[in-house]
Amino acid sequence: MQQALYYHSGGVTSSAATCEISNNRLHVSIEARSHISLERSDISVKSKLGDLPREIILPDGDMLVCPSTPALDNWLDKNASSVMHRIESRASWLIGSILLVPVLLYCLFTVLIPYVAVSLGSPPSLRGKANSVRTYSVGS
Amino acid sequence: MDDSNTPKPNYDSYSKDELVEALSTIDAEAFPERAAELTALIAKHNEQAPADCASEHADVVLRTEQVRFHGKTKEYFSIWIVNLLLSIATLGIYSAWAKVRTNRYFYSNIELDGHRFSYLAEPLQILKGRIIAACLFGAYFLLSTFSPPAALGLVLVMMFVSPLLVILSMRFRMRMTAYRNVRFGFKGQYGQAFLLFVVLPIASVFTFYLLFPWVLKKIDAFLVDETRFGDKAFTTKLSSGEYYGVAFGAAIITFVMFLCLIFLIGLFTGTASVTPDEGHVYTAVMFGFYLFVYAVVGGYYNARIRNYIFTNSRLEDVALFDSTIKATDLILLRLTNILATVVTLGFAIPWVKVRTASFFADATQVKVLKGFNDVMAGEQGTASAVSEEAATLFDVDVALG
Repeated sequence: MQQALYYHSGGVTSSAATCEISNNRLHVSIEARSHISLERSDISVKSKLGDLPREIILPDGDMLVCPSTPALDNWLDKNASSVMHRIESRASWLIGSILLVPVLLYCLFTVLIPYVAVSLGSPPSLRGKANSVRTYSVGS
Repeated sequence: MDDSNTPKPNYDSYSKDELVEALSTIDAEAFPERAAELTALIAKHNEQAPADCASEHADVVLRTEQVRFHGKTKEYFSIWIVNLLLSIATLGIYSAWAKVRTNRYFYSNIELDGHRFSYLAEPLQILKGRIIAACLFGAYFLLSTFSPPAALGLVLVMMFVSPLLVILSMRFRMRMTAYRNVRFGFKGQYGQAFLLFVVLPIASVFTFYLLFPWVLKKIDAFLVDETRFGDKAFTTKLSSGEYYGVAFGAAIITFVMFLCLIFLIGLFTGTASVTPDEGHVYTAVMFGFYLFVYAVVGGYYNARIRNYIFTNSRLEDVALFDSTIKATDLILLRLTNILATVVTLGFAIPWVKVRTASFFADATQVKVLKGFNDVMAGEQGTASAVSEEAATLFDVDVALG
């Protein structure tokens, strides 16, 4: 059972709440007085990002903010894939990104942008000559 | 006439109780002028008392809360590097999604009074604004190449359109920001924006920019006064004198720094002519110096003006604000940020952004007033509300960055 905050729609009022996943449903207890049980299809939620608390939008416009836990994340993201979060969490992707970003930037500024600039800036008769200039600049 | 042999007390420093006690014990026949003065001062205290009570009643401060930023460099680095890779690989299209993830990360890591802010924009709304901005930029580029007079015409058109873009962007940014399930809003109108962002800056040119600090004050006041949180409006009372003082200080700092630069260049070059290779070095030195001046003067101006605006702004019956940035700290932050970014070839950008956000959060306090719990969502709606299509049609953040 996780401590959460329950925001009522229409104003800034909020209540202390607890939330728990059981029987494939989200059970919310608001100030130990009222209880809500929700299916995944009842709510909308944005994709997981870092360790940020999950903002769960309820059908009536109320909002529940719960800490991110593996059980809650699994339940929230089981249908909607959280591809980006998985990419951002994997060391192989991060190392790949660190290596690929400079390579792609180099290609962008030395190949693609000069090619587009020459193609747009030269009449068709001069393009062959211009392309050879491009090749020379890349080779050097 | 009072007895001049007895030294006269300084009644101005007396409290009301002390004045009453003094009046009750004084010999009014021997010291009629002192008795009259005491009576007048007591009456003055009585007049002030209701006003003080009313003021205290209007601003019942429940508690003072520190703004906190919970973001971590390592966590943001992984978001940033993947965003960058995908933005480059998709030739900028993914940058709309990247912006949403970045803003979500920063907004949701800002905590005030135990609650976090939310960023609500959808990537397609950002992409729409980017396409508009890219089209405008592309049209200007093409026209200036093929038809300079037409490009001039576009600039004139943009002069009239830009205030509208400012209004739309501000409205979008505010509507996409929420706190405690209530959205912010922006109510600025085109006419006022045209005056502030086009007419007055052009007019200030004809006054040799002497009018410009006043224009900046008017712009800041406009941006604050037109902002809403739910059904409550922000208000600010800004003085032109403060802006002129800060602008004068910034001009003096700039002048002194350039004087030092000229002196140093003269010291190192003397009367010898500069070779082409040395010219490249001087160009690099000048560029570095411009960055240095920007960090110092910008840091000084931003620290002073931010503190001033926060201290003089309020959210009616809801909150008062305080900013305690030291200009030297902000200047140091900016200089180290520039240095780290250059030395690491940009890989320090996540660290720079996280520490900058932490710096501004640490320097911001909010006094929560008695009326805070009375804030209603107003016409902006709750954060979770699905806006009508007509309302979101013009929700665009027109920017390339």
